[in-house]
Amino acid sequence: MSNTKSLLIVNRHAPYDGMYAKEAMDAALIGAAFNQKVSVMFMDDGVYQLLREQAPADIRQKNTSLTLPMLDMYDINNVYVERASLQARNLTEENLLIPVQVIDSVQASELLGQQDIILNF
Amino acid sequence: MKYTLAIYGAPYSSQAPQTALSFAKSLLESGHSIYRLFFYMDGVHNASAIAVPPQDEVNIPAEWSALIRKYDLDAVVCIAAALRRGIIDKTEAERYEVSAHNFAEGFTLSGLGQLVDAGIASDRLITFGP
Amino acid sequence: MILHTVNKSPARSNCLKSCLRIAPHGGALMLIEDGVYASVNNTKHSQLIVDALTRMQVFVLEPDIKARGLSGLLIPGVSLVGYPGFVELTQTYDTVQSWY
Repeated sequence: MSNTKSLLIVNRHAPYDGMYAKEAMDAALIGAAFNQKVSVMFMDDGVYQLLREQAPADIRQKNTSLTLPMLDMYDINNVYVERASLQARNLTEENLLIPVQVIDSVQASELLGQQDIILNF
Repeated sequence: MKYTLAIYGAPYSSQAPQTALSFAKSLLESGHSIYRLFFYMDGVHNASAIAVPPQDEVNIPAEWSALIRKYDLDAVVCIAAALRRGIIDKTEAERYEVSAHNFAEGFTLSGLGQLVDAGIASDRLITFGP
Repeated sequence: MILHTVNKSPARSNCLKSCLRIAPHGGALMLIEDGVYASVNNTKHSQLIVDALTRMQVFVLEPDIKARGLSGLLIPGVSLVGYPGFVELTQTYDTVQSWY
């Protein structure tokens, strides 16, 4: 695959709501492995995927947050969180497991507008 | 234009498969092409060969099979999502030594990479959420 | 420019609100499936679409409107399209963002 496209992964679901969080992470890493320009955005309940200290063993789930540092290992540095979604949930960057860029709704809109491909999770 | 349709909803619990089917028929009739259908998450149930809805109801898996045959479409079912949910072809049934298989004709089991590849290769990627 | 699709009723899901928070800066809105309930006039949620109409085009999928008996109840200014129209819109706009 020679052509490089911009690919945005949009995460809007809470971490243990179906398999969205895991599948989104897989898609991001595959995008990077395909040498695409990958960005990841978390909004709505998707921001809960980033919370520290998740321990889902007692609900018999894998801890999807443990794979978040893989984004950096795959050189996916464009990780965005929508500010209104954080504020609506009484969260700040300090609650989050990995460094992110907090963006407002205008910036989120611009981010979406810049993409060749949007994958929704 | 070349389209990829990603279908995330299961027949009978979500309208997504029917919306995607109608959309697919409409775009093919207007001369556009489908690069790939990608069935993901609960959408893998669209590839069941053994769904038997009452005769006066739409048989969505059968409609997909017919459309795939008519237009010779590439219809990929995410293998991880499918195996988790008990949608399995003969090869995988033998590999995992399970007693039955139920994978409809015309579909192919493959990985999530096929969705990313399709996004890169298509002019438009449309997601039909559950 | 982006075509945003919404497929959930505004009474059940925050999809439409999230979409409209992001969408004002270009693009159009396409309501499908239960998303079409947002286009009914004089409901608790109508103002979302009334406001959206001041800055963007709002389309509703006609088979979904007819199926639900909503034909006479729509907010003035929303545009009805069938599947061929939906397909055409996905060509007019560069990308399609699905809110579900």
